[in-house]
Amino acid sequence: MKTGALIIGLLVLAAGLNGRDLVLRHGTVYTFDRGVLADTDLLLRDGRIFRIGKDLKTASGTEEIDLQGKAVIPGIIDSHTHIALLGGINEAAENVTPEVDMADQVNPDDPSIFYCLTGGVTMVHTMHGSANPIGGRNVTLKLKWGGSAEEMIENRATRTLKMALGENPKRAGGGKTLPSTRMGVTAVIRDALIEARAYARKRSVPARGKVRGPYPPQARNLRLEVLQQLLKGELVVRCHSYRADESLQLIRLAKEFGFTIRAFEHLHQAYRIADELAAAGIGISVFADNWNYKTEASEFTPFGMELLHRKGVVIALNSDTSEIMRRLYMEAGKMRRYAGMSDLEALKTITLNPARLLGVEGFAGSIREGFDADLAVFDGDPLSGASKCVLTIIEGRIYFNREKDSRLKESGEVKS
Amino acid sequence: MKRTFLALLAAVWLLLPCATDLTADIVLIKNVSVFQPEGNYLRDARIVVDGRKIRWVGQGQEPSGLCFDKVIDGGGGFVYPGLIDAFSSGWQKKSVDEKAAPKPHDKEVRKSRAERGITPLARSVEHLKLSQGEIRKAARAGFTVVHVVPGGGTCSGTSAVLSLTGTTAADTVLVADVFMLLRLNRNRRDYPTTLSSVLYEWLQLQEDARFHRDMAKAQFRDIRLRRRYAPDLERLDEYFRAGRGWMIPVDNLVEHRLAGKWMRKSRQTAVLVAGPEVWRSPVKPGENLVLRLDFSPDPVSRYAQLGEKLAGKAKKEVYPRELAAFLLDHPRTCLAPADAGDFKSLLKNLRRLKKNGVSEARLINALTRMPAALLGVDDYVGAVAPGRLASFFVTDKPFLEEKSRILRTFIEGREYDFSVEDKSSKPPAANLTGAWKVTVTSRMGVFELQLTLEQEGNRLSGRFSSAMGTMDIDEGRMSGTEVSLTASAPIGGQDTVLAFSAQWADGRMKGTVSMGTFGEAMFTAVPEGQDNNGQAEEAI
Repeated sequence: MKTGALIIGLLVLAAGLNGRDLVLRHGTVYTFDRGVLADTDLLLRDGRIFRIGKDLKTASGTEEIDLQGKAVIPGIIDSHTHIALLGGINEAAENVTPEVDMADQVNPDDPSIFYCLTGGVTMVHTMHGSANPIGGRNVTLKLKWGGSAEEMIENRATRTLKMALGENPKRAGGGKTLPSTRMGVTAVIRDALIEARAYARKRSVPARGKVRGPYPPQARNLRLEVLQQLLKGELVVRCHSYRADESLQLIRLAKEFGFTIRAFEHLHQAYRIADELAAAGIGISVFADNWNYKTEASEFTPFGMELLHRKGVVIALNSDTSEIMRRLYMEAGKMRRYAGMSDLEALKTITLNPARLLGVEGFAGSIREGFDADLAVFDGDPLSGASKCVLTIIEGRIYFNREKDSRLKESGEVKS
Repeated sequence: MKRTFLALLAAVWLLLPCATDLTADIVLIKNVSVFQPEGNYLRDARIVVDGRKIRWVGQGQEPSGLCFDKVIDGGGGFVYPGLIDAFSSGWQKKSVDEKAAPKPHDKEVRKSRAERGITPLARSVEHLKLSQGEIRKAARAGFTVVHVVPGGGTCSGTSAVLSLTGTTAADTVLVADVFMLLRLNRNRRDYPTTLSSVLYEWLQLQEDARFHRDMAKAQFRDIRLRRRYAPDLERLDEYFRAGRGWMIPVDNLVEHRLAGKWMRKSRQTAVLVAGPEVWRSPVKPGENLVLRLDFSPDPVSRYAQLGEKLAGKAKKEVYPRELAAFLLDHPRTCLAPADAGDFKSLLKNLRRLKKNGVSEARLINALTRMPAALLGVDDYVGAVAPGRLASFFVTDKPFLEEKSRILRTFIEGREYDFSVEDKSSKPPAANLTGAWKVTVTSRMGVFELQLTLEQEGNRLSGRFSSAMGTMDIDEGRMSGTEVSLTASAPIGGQDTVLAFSAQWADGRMKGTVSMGTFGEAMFTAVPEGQDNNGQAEEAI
């Protein structure tokens, strides 16, 4: 009896001491495994979602926020963007530059991070540009505004490599250099992969006699070593592409060399190859209804999403660094109309689906016990243009609070 | 014949002052307080300078048996070791333009290293460009030593330490090939166009240098397998293996992090040269660092972007408090002026740091003893002590107090006397306050300037202005009818000291202006509203 009291006492003490507990009370919680839960509490502890339930008991003194009439959704993930980078996003001078790593250039001071937070975005996949067939590696960030680059980089996410097909890599050389055709783009990629394979063979020549390492000495080529990682499956491809034909070409190349394409970016003609995409397990990261801004961006219909959705292709919506980053939830709302999705399915296009494409679905992208406490709170239907994001939480910490910010603004402490 | 003789005479006359300076004089400076690195002063001290070096420093009687060529009464002034500019891109000719090299048509053709801006064989010591005017300007600010670094590409060559004694490299170089400069420079069109590619370029260079060495060891008989001649890789390998110094200037947090990443990946250590944003970077207290003292916000920080929109406006100075705290936490951080030759704002910033709680000793050591040790020249400079070079300066009050003035600067025993000018002044013959029209007649043609003067006793201040812009008068005085004005202006891309000296007579000034390497020119100045002949301009 005494021991029990002691244990309870210790537990209470521990809970009291744990300053990072936060309870969100009476919210409408959008979960993907249990549906929409009305009047439900969320207990956040140590950066995780600790408990989901009604009338959760907590130690006295725990910080509480009343979310009566508000909706809690998983933190929004922007699947394709170029924010928070400094020092160039396109190594356009050469065709094959997988050595370039956007993780080197993370700029935690970019105001776009804050703009994203105001729209409920908690995670972004910030990418190399599309000027060359094999671009650089991309990086996944949690938008911990005010933190350092190291704190923002999400190391649990799958590392991705940017490739690009079509007009952009063709155009980058002004038509004078390889590649200036779509065939050329594929040829450049194929050449690079063949070189990477040959490099692997050369480097593995066994040592002879007293000489250590390969003999004759081989120069290390850091660029080809990154391509080797791709061939080994340590990296996956996110490929910029608009047309169906060239996408199929890359799928064939992936089969030939055994690398993984995780998703096609933009792919406006995806509905034409829905079967192939579904069979190869390749997702798409697209705009909801933005097209015809250049030649290859034509032949699109937002209603194609319905077909893709029915075939089981993972659809993620992205901002591509435009002001859409503040209203991705409205983009998701459009999926109800174009793709005939239910509310939860539509919500997945900006949460669970991009999480799958980034390999973070095991801890982010949905509200489940044990998952990271990355949440966005809306003052109404989270898919409606009439709603606003009022609270953005990353790993249990509030990074955006609309009420507090407006108060600061009104009091004159912060100038707008 | 007559002309040759005259030219010869002129040459001898020009060389004369140099020749007198080079004789090994023994000079006694008495009645001064000598700064000690611990922060105290050696009161009522005497310094014996023997030629280029300091022979003796102490209180009381100097060693007997010395015969002084000159005795200087310091008048209770304060003596500090000559300041060291630990990072200067000035004092050099422009390096070879790599952009002039032909570009290959195919993107896949890797250009030669030099064309990509990797020039480890470039040496600042071979590109020196010194002028007496510049040296005098540095001396005026108390600077006697500069560390000059090469500009250019991503691996731009080796730096040198100069003691500002003369105008030839042989006179000035203390040490050559001190640091190898790595710069996060990216191109617009050629590799590297992103910062991340620069990091890769550096790491790949290390691999290339290693391969070059492996090939040398392997000694193949087959000539096709023998390594190619690559002296640049050999030089780099030297730096990689011996851990000789690397120096990386970083402009913002992103670059700072990238430089740190390179150090971890390559297992090298580098001295970072950082700007004011450094207080937000994770710098270990034991890390060597050069801080370019400047309180303007770095252009990418959110303070600059989200606060008031500073981008287009004049620089607004921020975070002296944070930098002061940083300096106290990081005892190995040296200081340097923000831009080459920008000594004025440095002093202002030093005083600001002092106000925020950094001691005078810490600040002066950060400009003298610490950079001397960092650059490996602490046997020569960095302290006022016997055996060191006689490079120091004398002020009328403690240096970092408001309105302190540098009276004299010694650079390796050569004296620059800035006090004499005021002492020997005669009362001014006129008050020149007002607007003047200046006409300069030079080889380059005739051009006109407006001059606004304000006179206070012997001192003149004001500015020149023309269609090209304005330049402030750095120093101006009138003694009797003699008028002298100096100002500095960027002419043809290089900072040039313009020294006007004139006689005043009948309400006009007439004299010469020396323009550094651009030679001399004649000038006249008349009060605004009069034409060149002294007649009032007629209204048309």
